[in-house]
Amino acid sequence: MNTTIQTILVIITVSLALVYLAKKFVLKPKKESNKSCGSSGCGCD
Amino acid sequence: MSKQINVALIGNPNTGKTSVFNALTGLNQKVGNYPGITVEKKEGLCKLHRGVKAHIIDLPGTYSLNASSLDENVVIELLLNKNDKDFPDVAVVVSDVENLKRNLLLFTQIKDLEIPVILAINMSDRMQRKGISLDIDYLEQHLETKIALISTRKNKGIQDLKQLISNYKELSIKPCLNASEIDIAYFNNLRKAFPNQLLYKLWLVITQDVNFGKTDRKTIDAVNNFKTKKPGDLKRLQQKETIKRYQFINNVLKKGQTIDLKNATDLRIKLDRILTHKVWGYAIFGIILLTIFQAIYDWSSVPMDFIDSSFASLSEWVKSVLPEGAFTNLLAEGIIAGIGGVVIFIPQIAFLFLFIAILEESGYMSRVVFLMDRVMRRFGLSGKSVVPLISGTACAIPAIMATRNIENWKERLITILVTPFTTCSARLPVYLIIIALVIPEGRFFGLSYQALTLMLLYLLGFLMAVFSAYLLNRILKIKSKSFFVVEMPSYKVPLFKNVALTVIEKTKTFVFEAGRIILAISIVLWVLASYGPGEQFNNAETIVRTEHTSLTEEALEDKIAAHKLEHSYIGIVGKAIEPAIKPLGYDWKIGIGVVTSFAAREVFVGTLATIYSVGSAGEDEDTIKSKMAAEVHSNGKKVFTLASGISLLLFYAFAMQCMSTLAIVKRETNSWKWPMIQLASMTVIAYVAALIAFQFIK
Repeated sequence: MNTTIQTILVIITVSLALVYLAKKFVLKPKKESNKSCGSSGCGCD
Repeated sequence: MSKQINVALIGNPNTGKTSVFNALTGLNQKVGNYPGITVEKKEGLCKLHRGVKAHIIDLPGTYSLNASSLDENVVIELLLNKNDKDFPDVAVVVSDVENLKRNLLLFTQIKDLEIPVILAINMSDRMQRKGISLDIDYLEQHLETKIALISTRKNKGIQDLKQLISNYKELSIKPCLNASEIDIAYFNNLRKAFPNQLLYKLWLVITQDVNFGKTDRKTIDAVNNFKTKKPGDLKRLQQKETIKRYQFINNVLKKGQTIDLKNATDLRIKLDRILTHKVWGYAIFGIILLTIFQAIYDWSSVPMDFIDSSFASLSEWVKSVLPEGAFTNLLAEGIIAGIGGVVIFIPQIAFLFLFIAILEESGYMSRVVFLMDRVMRRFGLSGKSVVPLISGTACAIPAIMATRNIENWKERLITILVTPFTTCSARLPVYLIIIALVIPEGRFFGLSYQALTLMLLYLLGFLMAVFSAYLLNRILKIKSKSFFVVEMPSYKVPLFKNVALTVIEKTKTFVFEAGRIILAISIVLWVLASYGPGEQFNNAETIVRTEHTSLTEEALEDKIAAHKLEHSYIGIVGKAIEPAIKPLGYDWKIGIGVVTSFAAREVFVGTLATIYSVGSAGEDEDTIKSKMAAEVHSNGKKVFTLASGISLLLFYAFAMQCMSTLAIVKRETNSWKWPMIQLASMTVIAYVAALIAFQFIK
């Protein structure tokens, strides 16, 4: 395995890690529910 | 092609519903969430005869279809929506033989939705001991259903239940109660307005404010000027419905069930008297806790040492086998070190959940909730806060969601705000590694100092939660209280299968959920620690060799690695925050660990494992623990001392370091205000506590 291949593999691995972290913490899909919590005034209505 | 039917497992809490689910599905099960909400969804596959498969859904436990929480709403919404892909072809209502009367309320409600229902009467092995006898033929005839008398404990009746599920088409869908009897005039109007709809479904839509298909309370209101009643009147009608149902149930059970109290043993009452005693109850609970923490340490040290040294060897092996280069280093120092930082804690986490599962399965946990309720009330917390606080020892996220059954908003808010103080499993890896480094291995009355420290940290988290609740209670001026009812299930010998499944599931969650985050962060950290800008990083070798001409080759390599790390990207960040954390006794490397922990606490150990792997060229200190123990300041003093260790433990005990928890608090309070207040106040408390501890002990 030469240096170039090793560098490419590092870039791919790090990119995958960054995408995963971004998906997990930054681009988390919003799953808003239209359900209330069963109590008034809780701010969820 | 094989046919698949949907089977919903429904029942009151503590009826052994999950045991039935486990017995039917074995390991063919998966746990997820219902779409849009975070209520746990358990589903699995069960092979019936002639190639038919049953898709089994274990629905959240509920006492009736009168929902008061999101969990219970899930049950109703599924049963009302025929278009749902999970809508059951047949429902299995699991009931407990000792509480048949109460369990039948839910059964009659589901039956009235005209869904084929099987009644599975669980814990039948206890009938003789409790003096209970059932006339199954009579019950089947009058409840218009088929009954499976089962015992998941003795593995009896499961085949009969499978047979009944296979023959579900033979089940009657005749309702138990004529819904019109609740209020004849009102229901006649309802029938006129919706001639094609099932009356009981409409009644549930009106009273529960749920929707099925395109029908909800508003559309019912709008159609033909049909007016729903006021909430107070609806509540009264609901009570009337419940009374009518119990009249029906009483009539059926009068002949279908006989209980001979003379034959019943009262061991449960005797045990309850001791285990919930105002002195002995707490003493026994304390002894149980001590035993658990001691066992966690004693039993897991061997597998932990084995895992730690195995990963160290694996890292060395990868370096020796693969050609030198950036990716080989990433594998050895980033990925393997990162995975090692997760896997090493499997034994202790598995043992912790083993004990929790045993306490829950045996029925003791409900007694603990009852005991704690007494304490809670003195601090102004709702009795219902006990469950979130206790379940917070596993994870704050489900614990915060469990506050949904607290009706009073202010009490619920206080519980949400203080729950993250309880020691969650993510803190465990941090505690374990720091305790192992700074607390001596001696024993006190047979209990190791390390186990005692761990127990004290759990107590500290709990006390801090209660104390904060007391303060918040005063600040927020709560006047009203909610009521707390806890069901005391019978004592049972824990089922090995259930305990094992709980341990496997929880450990899997830790490894795969936390593990993925730790691994990803480890990879990013490795890059930040392995590359850097400027001359100091790029010419590290020349600079160090010029400055230290008298050192041996091995010492020089260590110096070069340390110099590079100090001038890497992560080193620059670490150095920038060092002035803020130095008074707490931390160096910049620990600082990086603390900063990355704000994503999730458990990242701390993986972070340090990665940083120390990159920053060390020697092979003497190969395990995570030994690398941390060997770490010294520039003046030669050890980094991990009693003072810095206690400071770190206190910081992690109080700091709000979990982005997922903050996100869930935002969702539950529908505002960023509360999570931000929580983050700021907990961080300040953690900083001050750590500062005081370090300055006093050093």
